[in-house]
Amino acid sequence: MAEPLLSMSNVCKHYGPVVALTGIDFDVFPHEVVGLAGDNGAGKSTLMKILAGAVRPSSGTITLHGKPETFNSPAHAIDLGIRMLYQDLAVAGNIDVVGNVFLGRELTRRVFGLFNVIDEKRMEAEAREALSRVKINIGSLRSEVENLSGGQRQAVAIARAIASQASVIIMDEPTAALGVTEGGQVIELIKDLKRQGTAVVFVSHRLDDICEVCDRVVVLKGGRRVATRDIANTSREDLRRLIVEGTL
Amino acid sequence: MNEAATELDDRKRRMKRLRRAIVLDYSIWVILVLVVVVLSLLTDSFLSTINLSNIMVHSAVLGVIVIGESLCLLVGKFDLSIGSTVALSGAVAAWLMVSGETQPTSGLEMHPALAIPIVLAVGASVGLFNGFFIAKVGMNPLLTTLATMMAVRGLAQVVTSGESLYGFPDAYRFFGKDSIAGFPVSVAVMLGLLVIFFLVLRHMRIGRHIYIVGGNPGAARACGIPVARVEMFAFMMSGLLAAAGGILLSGRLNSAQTNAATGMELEAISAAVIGGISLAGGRGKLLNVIAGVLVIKCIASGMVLLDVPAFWILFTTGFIIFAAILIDTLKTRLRWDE
Repeated sequence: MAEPLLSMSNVCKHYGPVVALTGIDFDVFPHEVVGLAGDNGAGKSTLMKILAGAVRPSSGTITLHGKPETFNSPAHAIDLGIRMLYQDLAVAGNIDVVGNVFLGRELTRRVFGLFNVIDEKRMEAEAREALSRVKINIGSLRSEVENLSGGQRQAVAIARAIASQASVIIMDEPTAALGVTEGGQVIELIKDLKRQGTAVVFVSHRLDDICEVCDRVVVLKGGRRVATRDIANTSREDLRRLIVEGTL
Repeated sequence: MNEAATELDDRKRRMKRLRRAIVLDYSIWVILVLVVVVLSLLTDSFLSTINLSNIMVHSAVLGVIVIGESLCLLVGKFDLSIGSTVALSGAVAAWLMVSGETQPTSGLEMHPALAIPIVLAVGASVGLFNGFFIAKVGMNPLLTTLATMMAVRGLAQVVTSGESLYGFPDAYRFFGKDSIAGFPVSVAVMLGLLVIFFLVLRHMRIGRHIYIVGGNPGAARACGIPVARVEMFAFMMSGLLAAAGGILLSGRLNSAQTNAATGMELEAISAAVIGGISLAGGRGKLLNVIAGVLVIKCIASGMVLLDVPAFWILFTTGFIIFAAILIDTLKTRLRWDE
């Protein structure tokens, strides 16, 4: 198999005496959608937050493109090409679509050789390009994101990851808040991303979605990894039992 | 046929957006016009040049400090200490510059060119102090700035030994008192600062980040925006602008009084809110805030011209603040309903 793009080895996280994760090995390969499954409290969100730079592991190593890295902050993880799409923190509703695609990484140009001002034109052009790859119709790029539907908001957040040329996108329950049609659109979008070479970590409760979009699935229970499975060889029922009971 | 229908749809949507923009964003200018029309009908002198010029001059201090308050509101916090910072900066300015022969000052008789930067730095420090404890430590902005409001006014009393100091140098009073070709310098300062901060909010990354932090701090954090630093910037500017307001006020009055600008923080919040800055953060345009300031100052001037008894003036001010908050809440609901 190819070199993993991102690799966690023996990662542990404890908050005082409370152990959130122990001995986690977790690989993400290029052109791959990895599912991350587990019941509430299994350690999914801690694992995601470590990858996104929001939480620092107590021990263990993370390598990116074969090089050991420590993610100090979300900004650092983003600089390294890892993008986290939080379920409820994806967008700022009071900012327009273009602004949301570049949230926190606004492009600037220099005026009078003194000031860096936001380069709205270039941002709009690049946002249009990123959104065209997302294939969900957004309407006006200048309308506030608050006016968009849940699926459109996800699309904006995904376009943001595309525009920043992320190599790994972590999605936290991207379909949970969506209706059937919109959820389906997001699933199609993830397949597109994979085709285009981006690796996706797909965190979800929905077994149907995991089975449809993922290549492999990693199951956590009680802060440990209990299984890593190819989706092709795993039935929905097996997956359910792994999540609930931790064994087959 | 179909094309005609979409065109009609488009026009309807544009009309709806326009209506929405007028109601949500620009209603304050309509209110300002109404207030001016009503007051000019009720009194003979409201529209006189001298009265209008008075209103502008009296708007200058509020117009400067409201910018800082707006920044704090935009990041989703607020600053109650700015009225006290206005008083403190006047006090520090007097202590540094005013002759110490008959008054309890430092006796330095410092030149304004040196004293003004110090006064501004004192204001910025008060703001940074607030910002640090609110943004970094996570203290509640209401109670924190309520406490510093008291402490800073106390500090002003300490600096002036509780006395009113007077007799500033002319060069210092230039900003608060003088006019150039009939145009008050203080009003020019206010307009200049408004334009600068309008441009910063609109075209610079820090301005954009202020809106993002106010709109969704979680999303801002997840996207790597240094949320605490942005909030601290807002508070520091609030303190700095309050000091600038203090320089204008003490220069105009030629005195530093420890009870100067009492309650001005509430006036600033209500001017900002009726100018369309949302109490929920992340929404509002700075240029509309000047209309909020003018509405408040026009009403105040109108009440004086109409010989309204002083206690009614306090009542009315309170009522305007109440109305501002009500309008803000209704606007937020309107936005959700759509």
